[in-house]
Amino acid sequence: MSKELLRMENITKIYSNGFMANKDVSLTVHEGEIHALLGENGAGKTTLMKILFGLEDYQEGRILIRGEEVRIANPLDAIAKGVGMVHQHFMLMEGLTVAENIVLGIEPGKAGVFDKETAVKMTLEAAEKYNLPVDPNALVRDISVGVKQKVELLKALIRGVRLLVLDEPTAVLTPQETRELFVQLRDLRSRGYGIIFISHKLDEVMEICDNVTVLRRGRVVGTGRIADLDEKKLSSMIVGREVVKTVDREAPRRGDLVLEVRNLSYVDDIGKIHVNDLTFAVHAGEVVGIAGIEGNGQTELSEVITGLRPPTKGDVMINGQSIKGRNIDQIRKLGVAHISEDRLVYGCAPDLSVWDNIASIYLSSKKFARGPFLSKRELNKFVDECIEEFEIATESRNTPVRLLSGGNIQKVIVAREFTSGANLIVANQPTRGIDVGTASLIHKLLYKYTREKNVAVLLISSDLNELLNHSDRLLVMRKGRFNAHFTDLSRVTDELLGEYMLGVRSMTEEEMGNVL
Amino acid sequence: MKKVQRVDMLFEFLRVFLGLIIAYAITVVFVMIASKGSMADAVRNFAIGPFVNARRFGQLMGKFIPYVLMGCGFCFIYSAGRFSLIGEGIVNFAPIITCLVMFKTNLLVGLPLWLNLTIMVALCAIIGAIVATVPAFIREKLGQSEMVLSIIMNFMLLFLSLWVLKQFLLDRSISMQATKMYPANMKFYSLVGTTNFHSGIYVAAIGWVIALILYNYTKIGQKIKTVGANPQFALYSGINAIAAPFIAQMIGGAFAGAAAAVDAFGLYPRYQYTALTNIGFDGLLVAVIARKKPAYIPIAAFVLAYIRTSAVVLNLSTNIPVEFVNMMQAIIIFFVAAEHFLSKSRQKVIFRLARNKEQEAHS
Repeated sequence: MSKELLRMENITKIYSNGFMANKDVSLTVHEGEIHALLGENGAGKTTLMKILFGLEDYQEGRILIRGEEVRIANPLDAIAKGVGMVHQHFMLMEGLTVAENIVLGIEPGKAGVFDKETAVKMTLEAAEKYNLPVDPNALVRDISVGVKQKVELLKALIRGVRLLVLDEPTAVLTPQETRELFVQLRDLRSRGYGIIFISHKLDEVMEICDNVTVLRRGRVVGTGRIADLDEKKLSSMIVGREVVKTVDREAPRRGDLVLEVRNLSYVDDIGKIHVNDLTFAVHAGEVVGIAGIEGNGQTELSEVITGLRPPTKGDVMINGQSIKGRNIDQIRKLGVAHISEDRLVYGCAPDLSVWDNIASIYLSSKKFARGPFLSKRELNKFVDECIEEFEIATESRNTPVRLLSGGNIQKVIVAREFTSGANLIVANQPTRGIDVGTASLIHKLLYKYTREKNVAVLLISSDLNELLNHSDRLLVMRKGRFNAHFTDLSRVTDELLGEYMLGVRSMTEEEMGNVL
Repeated sequence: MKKVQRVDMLFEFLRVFLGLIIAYAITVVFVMIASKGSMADAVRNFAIGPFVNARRFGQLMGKFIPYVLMGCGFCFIYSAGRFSLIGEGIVNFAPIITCLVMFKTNLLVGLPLWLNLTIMVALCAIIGAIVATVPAFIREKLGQSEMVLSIIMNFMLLFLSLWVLKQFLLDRSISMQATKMYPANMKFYSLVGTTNFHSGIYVAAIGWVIALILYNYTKIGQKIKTVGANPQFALYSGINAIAAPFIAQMIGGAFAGAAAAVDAFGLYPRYQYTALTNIGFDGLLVAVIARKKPAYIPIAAFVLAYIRTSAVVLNLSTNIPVEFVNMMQAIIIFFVAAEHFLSKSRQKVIFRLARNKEQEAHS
């Protein structure tokens, strides 16, 4: 048995709103081991790693590095103790060279004068030692994502780190870059480094990892040797349920055109094209899903439709009326409800009460108003009904939303949007990171509102199960355009969808058929 | 979650309460150390000084009245997430313009007292609201700091007021820089003997009720709170995130104007401000102590008026200067505004609650 590098024992972390993010979590990593840390979004992986890296405090448990109990105060402390982290979103200075980034904070030089030559030399030495070839003089903004990752690795290694945490390292890499990364990781393993590998890609985990720890709802639900497990076992450990399509759905009765998007483009301030000449429609009574790897323009599309961003070109018609020249309030009054993907930034005001958070969309309307006054009694009744109908677990309507659990916060948002009287619901990641119960409630509501109340739903999600089980039609978005259009979802598999999302396949316009 | 909310509210209250107690205790200790005479006398003067006779209590109430109005105004500005300190300058500026109307026109001559006072307060409030639009415009339309601009503007308003005073209204028969005496039907009257406890208290009471209604029962009050709590969320909800804070600052300015009216025409026989009054900053402090809730403004205003009066009493009766006690203000802000004060213990209690809940769920 090789030497133990890290031992986290019974870590319990409770956030200030009472949410238990980690409960009695233990994790051990040895030298020369690649340890996979798996779990759904919101399972507590990130919190655990933030604790290890000194970014979050914890209430119970202890951390031992090489058998010695430590208290990690901050990231600098973590690095000094030999723990390094490569974040999913790189933490590099785009305008500096590779060498400058690598020595950032430990710059060589005398009397405050930066010695660039030594920095380059240090970089080259490290690159050779760890077999991670980089050009020390290239500017970071000019190098590819794969090279940036090498720079991140070198940055950690040059500081003498012995334990590396890699947060979804392959999410941004091409398959070739992934292969290369794995070669380098194996090399590091053979040199006795410990690696914690966080990923959602089970095949990669099976390929490269030695051991695995699976988290679900903040608890360890399984741990063991990869050799004893297979992908199926892992996946059922992660979700804790069988992943099957079982929902009985009646065919939608397509009604009037509710949302019509015509040649819509959105270009941001720095000239990046997020939405590229899209045309599609959503009718009353149907759920249109949009799949795609995050960052392919789905969020921008939903924000243009709901008025948070202005369209650059083209138009959006809601119930026959253009959104052009209208503000968000006026667009909402055309019949739009919006469940934002960023629920704590756009979806709610955490410090305000449930009441305030539901009342927010009625402050410019005649409903619940007596002239300049709010009709408190009617609103109280309405909010209480929302709390009851949507099963929001809150002590009262006056409880600040930040004291609720993630699922209940989402219920508040869903209650507000679904009861707004809108006939178009734009739901962006409506169930991401929330508990299964709330997710299934939201799915039932989507179904009920389309079938019974003739509402049109645009469902944007990165959860393929959600899309396949709860959409009537499905569009795949890639690089701001549609890549596929499915009208019969019964024959669509995750794999097939994945190939379209990744651009391995793509449909011609004829194959997509009528997207209106 | 029921218990968590209660713990949350308890700690919110404790933070303010303990903050005040600690600040008070520290000040008392310093008073004891600094007093050259009898230590007991100094502490007694400080603690109960404002209550020993009608005159001193009147002094306290004289401060309390504008604090209530200024504090209410700040609740709106502060709730919208803005820090316009323009109220300070308005205290100097609004009454001097009203004095122009008072002395240079015949509008108010011969009208009954109550009507004159209503007109004067309303005029000051309107001037305050208008003046407050300048930093509001700079912030909401041009994206610059309303705080920096309002602080600069306070000095501009002070000197502008002095210029108006010297140019048009100076009473040359006295040695100080002031206007003539206010006519009898154009000033607040004392409610208790000849003390500073004057009829402006009615204005404060009415202002407080208006603030309560505006803050808690109107659409605009709700919009202001929402924008202040989370501007992006407000935008997403369809609230005009420029108009609401703009209006909040105007409301704040109007209340500052009313505070100026009760102070200028209540405490003094003539307009005699030659420096900034500090009422604006005190108003901010009142709103901070009241946690931006108009409902708590009277209590907060009373606490601050009491502390301020204690300082004056101490100054007059012992060798301890006013400024010495005023440092208490800094300590109060330090504790009350510091989000992290008590956050460790709060965290511990919530942690225990979550643990217990967990165990209950398992058993």
